[in-house]
Amino acid sequence: MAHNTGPVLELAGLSRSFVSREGVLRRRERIVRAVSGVDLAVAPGETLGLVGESGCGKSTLARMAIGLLPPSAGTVRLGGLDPWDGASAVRKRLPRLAQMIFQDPYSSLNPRLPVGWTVAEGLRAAGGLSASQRRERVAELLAQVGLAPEHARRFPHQFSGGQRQRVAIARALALAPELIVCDEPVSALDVSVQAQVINLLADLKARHGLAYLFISHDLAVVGHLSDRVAVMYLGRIVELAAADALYARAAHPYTKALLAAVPGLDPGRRRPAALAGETPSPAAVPSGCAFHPRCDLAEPRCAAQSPALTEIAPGHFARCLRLI
Amino acid sequence: MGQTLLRVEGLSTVFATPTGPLTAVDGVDLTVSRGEVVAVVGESGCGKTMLALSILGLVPPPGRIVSGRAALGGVDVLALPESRRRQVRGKRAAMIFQEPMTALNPVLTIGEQVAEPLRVHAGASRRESLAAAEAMLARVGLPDPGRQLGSYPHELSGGQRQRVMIAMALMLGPELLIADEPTTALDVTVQGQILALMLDLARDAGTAILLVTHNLGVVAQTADRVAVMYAGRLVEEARVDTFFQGPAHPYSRGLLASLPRLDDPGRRLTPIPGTVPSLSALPTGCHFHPRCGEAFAPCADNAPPLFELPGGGQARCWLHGA
Repeated sequence: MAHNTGPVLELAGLSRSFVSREGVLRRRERIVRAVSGVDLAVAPGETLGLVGESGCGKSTLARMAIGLLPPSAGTVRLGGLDPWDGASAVRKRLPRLAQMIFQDPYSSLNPRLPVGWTVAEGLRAAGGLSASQRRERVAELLAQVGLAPEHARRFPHQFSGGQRQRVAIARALALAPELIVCDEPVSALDVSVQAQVINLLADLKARHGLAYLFISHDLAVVGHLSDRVAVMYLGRIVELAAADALYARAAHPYTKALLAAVPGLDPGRRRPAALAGETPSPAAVPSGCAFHPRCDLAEPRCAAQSPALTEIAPGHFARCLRLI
Repeated sequence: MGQTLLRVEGLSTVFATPTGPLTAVDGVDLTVSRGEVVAVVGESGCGKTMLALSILGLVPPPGRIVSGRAALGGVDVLALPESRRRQVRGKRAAMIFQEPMTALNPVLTIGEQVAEPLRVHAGASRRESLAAAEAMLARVGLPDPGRQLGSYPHELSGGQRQRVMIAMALMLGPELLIADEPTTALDVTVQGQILALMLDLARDAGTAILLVTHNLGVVAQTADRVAVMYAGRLVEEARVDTFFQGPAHPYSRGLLASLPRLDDPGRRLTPIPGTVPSLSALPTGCHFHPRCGEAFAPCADNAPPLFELPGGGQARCWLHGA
């Protein structure tokens, strides 16, 4: 880790479009702009939260960040390396730079293999350890995520959802990466178990100096774990700030609406619905500011001009014409 | 609150499995007054959905209601023959589900489906019922309701489909609406709209709501009273304001302490240790005792009854025993 002083992850002008075929004969083609011109950087040891509603492009962004999906435009740099470089030295280095955990650990673990085998997968591919050293390392990894060494011999179906997510985390940790991209890692878990996994992720970060790109639709979970938070709407980052600043002084009307929509735990303070309408399809992104049709503060210029992500206070960025 | 509308007593639902019977709902008592919103909250597998289905006699096989009654306006729905029960489900009680796509018929238009209750249960003509459906779709805020009468479910967004489900459910002005995780599949900004809509329409019509959810925020924002379920049993029942000031059951307290909160982001979460037990391997005594930080002598061997709490409400916990 010592040799890398720059960001562990740097996204510049990152965009991704898909062609969607529609109509009965699937002849009508529409371009879906899932991610548009995203610039983001994650520093070593930092947790960058990424929030947004379904279809905002956050999972597409995650897959590009880890090198699972090639961008249509823009660049990804993991520890300064381009995951699409193709050089074998880069390919060997990538698994030690970044790993990923997913929402549903059941579909990301091989049901036919004991979990110890899955956790050791990266170690085997990287080479350099004997079988007994690997077994030892697997036991150590399982202990770090709160499982016992004998769990290595069990199969995924023998675990609860929370335990399976622990196994997925152990696998992600195996090669001691600098960054873990977490895509809705606790969304499928019950509240009581979700808290266990959130605490585990916080502890592992403190112990290993890990950086996370933490993606979720749940603002409370993201706020709890993140140093900085980026808010996405229809493929674009609309606000980016330190977590405490974002939650205390949200500037973008969408962020404000999102925060106001989270049902609070105080029955004495019941709030009206925060936002009218629904998110448009990413295949039909509105002109100008993509949020303008739902925005209470929209002016005529908002439909015509597309605002840039602008620094409105030190370290606090927002994409809104009214804030510039 | 007013007069009792729904009185559930000793309701138990059991599933026959090759490895033996599983008790999904275990002797639940619950009342809902006219016009009241009661939330049933709990984690997956706690029996909250099965309770909701049991109340209307909709338990899917191999499940079976083995005991108890569910009286709606004094009539035990579960003792009625299926034909009469169907009438109750159409007119006096209605249900909406988490995923409207699976509850709507994909090959019938929205108009036909929303109008159907009026034709079947009130004998309205096609023209009358479609006019009433259009008026109802307008009330649930579906844009361009006249045109949407001819749309099919797949042409609508998730939020719009849930609006259609609410329109269908409220078509005959039921006394009770059972809503099972109605907003769980929706984005948070749409969730707020749908909950507000459901509450407004129900309040206008004097309809009571039994809201099944896993989301304590939704409970706080919508309900008058809350019933917490754990491993098939109702473990706490309270008014929502007293509950959120300080719940009585250690499981309820654990749930609240597990939640990350927007207003206190730095706080370390206090999870409940362990996991929700499987119905096939329920702990003896109080089902929660192996995960409970406050368990003491009687908890492992003796299942506690529901104790009345001094400030109102009830908790199934020996800590509150005399």
